[in-house]
Amino acid sequence: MASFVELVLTGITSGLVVGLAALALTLVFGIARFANAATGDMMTVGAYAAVVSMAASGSFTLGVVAGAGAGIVVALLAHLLVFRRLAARAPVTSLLASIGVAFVIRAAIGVAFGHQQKVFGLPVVRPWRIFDVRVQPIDLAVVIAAAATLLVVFLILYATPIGRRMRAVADDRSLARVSGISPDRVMVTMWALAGGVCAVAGVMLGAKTVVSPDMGWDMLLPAFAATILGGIGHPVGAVVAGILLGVVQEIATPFVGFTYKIALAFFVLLLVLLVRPAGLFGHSEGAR
Amino acid sequence: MILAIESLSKAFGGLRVVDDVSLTVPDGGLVGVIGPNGAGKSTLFSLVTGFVAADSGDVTLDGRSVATLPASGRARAGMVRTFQVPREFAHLTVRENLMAAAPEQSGERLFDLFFHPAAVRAQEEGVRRQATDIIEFLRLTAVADTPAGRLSGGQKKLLELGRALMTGARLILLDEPFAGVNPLLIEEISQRIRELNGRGIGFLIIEHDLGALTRLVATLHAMDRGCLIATGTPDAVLSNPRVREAYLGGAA
Repeated sequence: MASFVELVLTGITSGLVVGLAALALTLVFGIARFANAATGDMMTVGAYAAVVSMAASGSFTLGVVAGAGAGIVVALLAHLLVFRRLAARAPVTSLLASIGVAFVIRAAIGVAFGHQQKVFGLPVVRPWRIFDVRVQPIDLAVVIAAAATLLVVFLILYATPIGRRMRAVADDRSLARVSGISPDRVMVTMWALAGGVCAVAGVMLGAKTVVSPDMGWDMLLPAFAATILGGIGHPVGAVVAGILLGVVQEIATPFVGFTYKIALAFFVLLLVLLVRPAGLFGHSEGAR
Repeated sequence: MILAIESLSKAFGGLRVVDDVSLTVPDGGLVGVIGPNGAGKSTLFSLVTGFVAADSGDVTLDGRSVATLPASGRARAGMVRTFQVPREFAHLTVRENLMAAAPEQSGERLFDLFFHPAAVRAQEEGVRRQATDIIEFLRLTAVADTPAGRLSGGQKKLLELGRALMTGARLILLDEPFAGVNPLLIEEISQRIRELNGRGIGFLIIEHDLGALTRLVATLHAMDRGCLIATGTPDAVLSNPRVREAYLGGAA
């Protein structure tokens, strides 16, 4: 029983990583209308920034903040230098460009830091025991970082003027324009949020495993799965679906083995889409 | 003169949908545009509000050209349109729909959000109050916190009017405000338009319900096949032989 609870807890932490990445994907998709293939590499940026600043300062909290800052900067640069200029073109142009952005980020990281794996210099501590369930302190730190990030993002989305405008643009972009809502400011805010969210996800992943130039790219497929499972463009759905996939994967690992974890995630995705084609939280709407 | 449209033209492919159209709306004016289907009325609105780029011609608002401004800039300059098939931010509540359209909110900047939260909150309070006033004025109080996608067609038309008001528009372009609206609500919407006009807001209205429109406007323009064919008082325009021919010809 205790080991089952441990699996669930591990599933929640790894699911939060996927959920945050899916949240970033869904934010970009809902507002800029394309699937951002650079999402994973923006995660990698966050992880490296955190490793470097943690090595310098020794503080994990500072690492998370620095990682988020780096993610925000890189996402804003990608927006200003690439995606903003392609906004008037077909979405597939931005999708292809985002693959290019992903390669550029990964190559830059490879050149700057090399391809060998890095680790957070986190002290090894004995896990806590709560009712026979072992809890790693780092898992708790990771969950707190994720929860804080989610709180900030959802407060901005649902309780501020700019969040209201972001949701308005996601609902009907041209109506937003004729209502006097400038798409520029909404886009900049959205990219800042998406970059920050990606980076925090990357820091979490790096803290749990290892940091390498490919770490984020490997997360892209599960993140897409969670985005679709949650209902494309639905922020809450993305996070819930990420956690769900994480938990399902961990619980199934003793039965199907580590190798088939990811296949299982997609099996769940297929099952859900058979019943609810628009995803868990999506609503199928008529074409405008 | 709040709005002056000068020689506006637009062709899609070889078809001149709007052909050298010029018209004006005086300060606080209530002006109608009629014409058979396909006359180019809605396209004219799209050109004026920057929704679609014009091939040639100029649009001036309060004597200043807005022809180079994007749609959002023209809306902020004080000119907002509604749509034939009403559009709304479907997942936002009625209140949020209105609040999203309030101009220049400092809470739009993340920096202010984090470093001047008190100022943002104070402004947000003002915006909320303004939205509540408009909701009451439009008699939408019962649905104020309902997602706009669930409103009836007539309520959506009122919401569109509300969103235009919220931007602080001084000129509102209504595209068929009475289409698909029941007769009681038509009278209701007409009354709201008159009251707003009394406060100095100008209206340019496209409408097929000629009865309701002629009771409302002082000046009427008639379009046919992209061209302006008649201008004058409602009676004069409706009895104009070219206008009658355009409508009958359209029906034949």
